[in-house]
Amino acid sequence: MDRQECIARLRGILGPRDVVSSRADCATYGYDASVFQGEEIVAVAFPESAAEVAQIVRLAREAKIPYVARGSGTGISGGAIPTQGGLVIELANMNRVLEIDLANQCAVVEPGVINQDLKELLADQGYGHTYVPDPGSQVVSTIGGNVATNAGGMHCLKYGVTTNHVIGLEVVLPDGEIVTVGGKVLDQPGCDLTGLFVGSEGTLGIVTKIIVRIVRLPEVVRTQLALFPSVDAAANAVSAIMTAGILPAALELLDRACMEVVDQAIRIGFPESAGAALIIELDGLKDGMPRAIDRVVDICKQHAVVEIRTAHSAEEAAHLWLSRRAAYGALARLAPTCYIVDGCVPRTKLPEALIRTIAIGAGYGLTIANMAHAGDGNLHPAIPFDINDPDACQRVMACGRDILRMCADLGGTITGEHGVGIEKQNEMSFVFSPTDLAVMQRVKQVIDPDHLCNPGKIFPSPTQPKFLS
Amino acid sequence: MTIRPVWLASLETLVGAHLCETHTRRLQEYAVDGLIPSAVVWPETVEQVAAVLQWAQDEKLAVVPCGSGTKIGLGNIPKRLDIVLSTHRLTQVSEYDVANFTITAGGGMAFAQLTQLTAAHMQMLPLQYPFSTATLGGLIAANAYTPKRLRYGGVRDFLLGLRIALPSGEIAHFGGRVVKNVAGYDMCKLFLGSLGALGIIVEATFKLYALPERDDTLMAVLPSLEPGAAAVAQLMATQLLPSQILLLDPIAAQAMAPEIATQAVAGTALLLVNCEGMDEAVERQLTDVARICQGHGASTVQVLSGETQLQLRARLEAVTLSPPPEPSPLEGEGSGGGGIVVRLGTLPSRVYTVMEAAVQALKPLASGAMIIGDCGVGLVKLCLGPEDLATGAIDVPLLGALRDLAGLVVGHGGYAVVESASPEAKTQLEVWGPLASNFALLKALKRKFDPEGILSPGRFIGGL
Repeated sequence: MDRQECIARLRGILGPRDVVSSRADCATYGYDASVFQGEEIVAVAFPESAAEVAQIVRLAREAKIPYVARGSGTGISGGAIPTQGGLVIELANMNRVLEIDLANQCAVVEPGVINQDLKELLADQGYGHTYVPDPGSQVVSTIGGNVATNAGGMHCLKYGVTTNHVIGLEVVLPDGEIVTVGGKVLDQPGCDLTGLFVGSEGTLGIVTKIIVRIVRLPEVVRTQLALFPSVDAAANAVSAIMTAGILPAALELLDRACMEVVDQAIRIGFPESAGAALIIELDGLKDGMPRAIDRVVDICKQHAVVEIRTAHSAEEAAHLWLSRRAAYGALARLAPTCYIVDGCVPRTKLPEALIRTIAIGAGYGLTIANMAHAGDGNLHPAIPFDINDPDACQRVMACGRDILRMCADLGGTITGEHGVGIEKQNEMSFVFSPTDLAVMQRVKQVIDPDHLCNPGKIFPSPTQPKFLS
Repeated sequence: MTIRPVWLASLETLVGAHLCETHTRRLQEYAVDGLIPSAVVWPETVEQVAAVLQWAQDEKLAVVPCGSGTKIGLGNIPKRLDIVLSTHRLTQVSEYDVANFTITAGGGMAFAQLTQLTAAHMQMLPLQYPFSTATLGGLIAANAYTPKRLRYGGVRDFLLGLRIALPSGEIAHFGGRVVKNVAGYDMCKLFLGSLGALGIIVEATFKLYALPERDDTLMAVLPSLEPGAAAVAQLMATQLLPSQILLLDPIAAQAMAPEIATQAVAGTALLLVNCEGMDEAVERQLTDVARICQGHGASTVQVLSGETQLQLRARLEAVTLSPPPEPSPLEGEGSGGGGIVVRLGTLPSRVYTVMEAAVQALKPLASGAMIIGDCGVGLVKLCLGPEDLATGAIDVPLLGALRDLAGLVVGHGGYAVVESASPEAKTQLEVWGPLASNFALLKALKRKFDPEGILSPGRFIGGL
């Protein structure tokens, strides 16, 4: 099937408006939020139903061309980049919230629904509800994309990642069949196929419906910003809080380099003596909360805290959060591009991981600003660099790779929440044996034997990802 | 008399004769749905498990993995059974990282044993009651019901990593030892609920929680199920965070709390609400829940803690795991157990409807049937004792009633699974309920991971 016929057939399925095929328009779908780019594609399809997705998948199978599902394109590992051309299946038009079932604490949504939109909708329901996962991209990223990467966020420590909040899916499999896994009723018999699809980065099928858990908003939320003399002190305070039996909703850490960048951008006013900032958020019932907060303050004092700022209103809490949420934006002041690493280590290894990260960066002549979901041991070293400098690109990638090897060596993993995509395919061997990977790939072989569904991702590959140009 | 199968010498070479059993009387204790294996083997290492599987695949011998046997009643009657592979000797703790709240232990470790270890460090794995004899591998393979799922989540939410022995003889590990990990497919989920049909779970890593300051259960006696359900609905609309909400029909209520039931009028239902956490939060929740219950006509409200709470939990566990007719080294229900336990999965909002239908349908046919609803999770357990079944088989009216109840939940997106029944009863019932739209996928995965069909043949969904 040649390009023109394929486009004509797509238009036959979707109508003329929902197929984009000009080279200029198609080119914009060759990117996501990573530092990589894909190959030229045939067309972008905008289906509006699972039936249309299934027809497109069957067409791609007949034409023997690969396809990649896409949401808002905010992934930073290249998971949604069409590295082998073919079709991009853009799910933005499948953005309806199909059902909100307060009595059963779940909602049924289409994959194109924006994370933040769902949260805002739920906040006004009944007595106030929410869908918990809150990746940094939540204002623009879709629930479908969050499912593909098993996205995390700031509140994973207490509430878990996306997979802990997805109880069922409708999936168009690579053979064009539409199947349901899981459902509104929990713990369906048999293998947890829902859990298998979540985090599979669009390589096992295209999710067309998602059943998410929703919860009541907590009775109280208490947010504090604690400034410590060093990353070590802050990280030790984190461990002490957990050991005391307190499970905060969030524990977010910024190192000195990151604090300086943020301060220059939004004038938080961090004192000179602060080497690390820690956002501590507790939520739950109001009863016992004062004692928990007192305990946290005591622990911080035992760890030489320089200053603790406590939010007394939702606005003040939002302001404290700004120092963390503005960090990525602030980093853009330093260089045209910022490379974000996503390593994870056992929480108590975090101080060592952060120190070694800085040293690894220095070895490549790179300055690193560190952010971390400290409670989870998930570190996000940010490396500002100029993508137009080929030498810098090479150094940054090598530096990222070394950081991930260090995380693996400390008993951690190569990606905590961003996914493997095309960025970390070869780093998979840091944490998995050839046998592990071979067994994992059997799942792909069973479900997508023709390797057309987002092919060439996740598993080790001799192909190097292509940098943005 | 002992008949030595021709392949026994090979098995003994693989693991050592002292780890194999072929004595007829002992083999009977390991029967699965009445099928007696030709050998039981207790591998001591992960490598031995893999070697036995690879050899069994070559020899095309059917292997059923078994932990403590608490869920051996689950599933269809096996099509074949040559060897029961017990994980009982795989109990090594390879890492307990106290500071990071994670533990990695052998698939054969009993939950109670793990609880003892973690309790010493004021930590817990809130998946079962602390005395549960179920093994870690068994909990995962059966995707076991977790009493405190409402607050903490299920097995899927605590499982960080797995080591699996496959029929190919490969040993693979998935996941890791950190709480956030999206490297590759989440293969742990493939084996969760796979009932020994794809591989044998030889080791698992779980995340742990700190033990709560306080863990109490409020017990309220309500005039009937209906006000109980109304109290639950009101409770679910609050911001309170109970760990478990159980509603018990009058028969179950009497069995679970005889000391209360004797004082109460016949026909009363029991509501159990478990609250955990900081002292202040538990106190407030118990107060609020008590008020809600009184508003719906509760005659008695009392709080159980410590030993009395433990006794209640032991009774709850005993009834939902119907015991085998004869003493057996397999704890919990045996293959030829006298009763029937059916698990009906439904929406939380439909638990009362299903319970009421079950009461109406079963009362005239099985007067001793106990009906227990988990209102937070959406689950109704029907527990029929041996006294309700004249023979091993189910008579026609009761069979019709059970089928109707299954239809009632399946029709609304739920499921009906027989958790334990005699082999005769299993031939009459749809053990796994109707097939889902993803069955072809499950079948293809089974064929890939167990191409010769040696692992638990027939027991899994659709006879896989």
